[in-house]
Amino acid sequence: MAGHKIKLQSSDGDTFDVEVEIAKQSATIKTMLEDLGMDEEEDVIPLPNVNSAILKKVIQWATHHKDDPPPPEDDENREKNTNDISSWDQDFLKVDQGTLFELILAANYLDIKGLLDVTCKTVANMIKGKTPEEIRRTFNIKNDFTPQEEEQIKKENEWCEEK
Amino acid sequence: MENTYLINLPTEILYHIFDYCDIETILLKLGRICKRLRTIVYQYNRFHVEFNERNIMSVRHLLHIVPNHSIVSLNMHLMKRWYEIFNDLVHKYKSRFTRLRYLRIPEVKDEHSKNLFTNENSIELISLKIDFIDTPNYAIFSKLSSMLTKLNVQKLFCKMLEYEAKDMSWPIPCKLTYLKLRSCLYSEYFLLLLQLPCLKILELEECIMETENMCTPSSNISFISQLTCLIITNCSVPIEYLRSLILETPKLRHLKLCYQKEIFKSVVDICDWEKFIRTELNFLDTCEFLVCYKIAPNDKINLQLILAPFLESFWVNEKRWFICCEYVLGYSTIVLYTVPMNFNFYYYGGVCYAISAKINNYHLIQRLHNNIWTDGLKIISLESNEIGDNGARDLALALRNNKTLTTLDLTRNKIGIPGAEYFFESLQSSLVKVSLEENRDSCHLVVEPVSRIKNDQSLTKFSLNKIHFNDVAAKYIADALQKNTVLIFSHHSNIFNRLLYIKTIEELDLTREGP
Repeated sequence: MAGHKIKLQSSDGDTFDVEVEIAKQSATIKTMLEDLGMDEEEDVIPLPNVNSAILKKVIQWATHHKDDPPPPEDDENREKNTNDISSWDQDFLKVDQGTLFELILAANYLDIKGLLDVTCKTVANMIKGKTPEEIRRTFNIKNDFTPQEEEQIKKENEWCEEK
Repeated sequence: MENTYLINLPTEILYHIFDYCDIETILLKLGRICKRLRTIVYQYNRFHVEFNERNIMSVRHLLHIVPNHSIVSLNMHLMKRWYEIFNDLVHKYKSRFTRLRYLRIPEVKDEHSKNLFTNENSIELISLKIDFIDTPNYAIFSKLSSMLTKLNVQKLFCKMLEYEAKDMSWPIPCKLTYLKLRSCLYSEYFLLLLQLPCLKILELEECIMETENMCTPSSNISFISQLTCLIITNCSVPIEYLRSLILETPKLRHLKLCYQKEIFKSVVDICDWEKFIRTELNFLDTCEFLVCYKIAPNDKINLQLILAPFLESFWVNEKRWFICCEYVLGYSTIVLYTVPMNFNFYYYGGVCYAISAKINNYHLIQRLHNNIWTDGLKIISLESNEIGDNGARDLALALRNNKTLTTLDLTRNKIGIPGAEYFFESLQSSLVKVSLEENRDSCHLVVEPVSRIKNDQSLTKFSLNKIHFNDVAAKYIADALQKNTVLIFSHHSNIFNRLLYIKTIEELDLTREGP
């Protein structure tokens, strides 16, 4: 029913009133509502893995995308294109890495396919075209290979490198 | 120190990110970052491998590391040597493509279907895409049928294939659930559905209406099609025939139609279309469409009027199908479509101003070549486009919320004083420089100063010397000055006649400059 709302509770105890149709973009919440028969306005759905700041962002994303047509049935065959992120999503994801990765975890936990896809695409775009050292710097990753392992990797891949 | 978010992600999410990376990035970049990523890269088993003429050598080398059973998708897009490479992969590595689900090849030949796709390769495809280097002829159909059977294909993409029932015998039973073809005859549409009883999604570029055989495609055989989704990307089926097509598929829930041809002639056809969907297609869950029509260059454009029927409750509240109406500048074309627009639309590069039922506001957009839209325009040049006063009003409204535009060239667009006023009022606080030269009634010279006079009572001098204007402009200036006490400097007699009616003028200088 349009306009019918439920309450979502973040890990830090804040509750958010959200229209059912918006919340149901999360397969996790959809299943909870259907399996547990939680359809009373007073019922609160606890989301212990998502904090308030991230839940707010997730609701913002889901609200913007509430009228999107459902993904096509042949979705798994879609070409893995990372250049099709809408300008709204690009702006929405101009956030610090902490927020971006927390959004990924939240999208995964809440099972929101569209949000998981677009956040993972964004990370893939941050990886593409970079050297391993640039990727380490971008994501603050320590090179923990031993010199022997480094040598081994170099040898293994030498003949794969483009001249 | 900043957290290392990426490598702390669960493996399944890293896999999801890998799904959007090419094989070189995964193996040669991500596999060399750190121990954890290297381990995960080497366990990853859903590689999408794409060969092209440039990367043949490097990808073949990489496939020494990746066993065939870790490849889920193999794309040999338009490669001449694809068969040789594929054959090598099969025989050299002795590893079966047990996980291969998506295969894209450029052609189908006799020797391929005999030798390559044998059962011993254990290929059970979900999807087969054939690009066809050469235009496919009727002989293709028999090979295609045997491939579909051997490979257990469920989804077939042949966007170049022009289907005719007499050439193609589908496997019996045919398991296809998805089919994409270039075209099918309108009269053979039902026969196609009959031969593909599992088909759920049919995507055609065209459904061809034959002039000699326009009878309704129907059959006496009792059969209920499983089709739930019909897509026609370059549709030319008139409404009454479309009705017949849809009646044959009672389970249809998703319809996507793009009318790029000139089937729609005027706003009357748009009204019929709106009524048809609202009254006869209201059982659909999703309905996406694009329709367009040309207008005469001199016609007045009122996008709000065209959009009005689509603001009814059925569209906005009940179905939540939001429509956008746009005018493509330079093409004299009105386009109406559901948002978000998921069609390849060919007026590339066209600047449009548009009004959408979703935000109910004018906005300015430009479609780039890759079909990505932008409203981050900085310079728009729209010289000689017959925009007129109504177009100017819509454009001005569209630009009201624009934060990026710096220059708008509207030279030679038949814009008069009312049109220029819209710009002046809408863009007063913005930095946009609007060029209105060579329009009507000297609007580029008179509107701005007159607006300032109207709004600034402290102004006491107004020079009209060196400005050449006609009666319309003179009346406009005179009317604007009714309530002002200003000094006017002008050599024009036509303004003098008008100003006789103004009582408050304190000083009037009509000295003519020069001879």
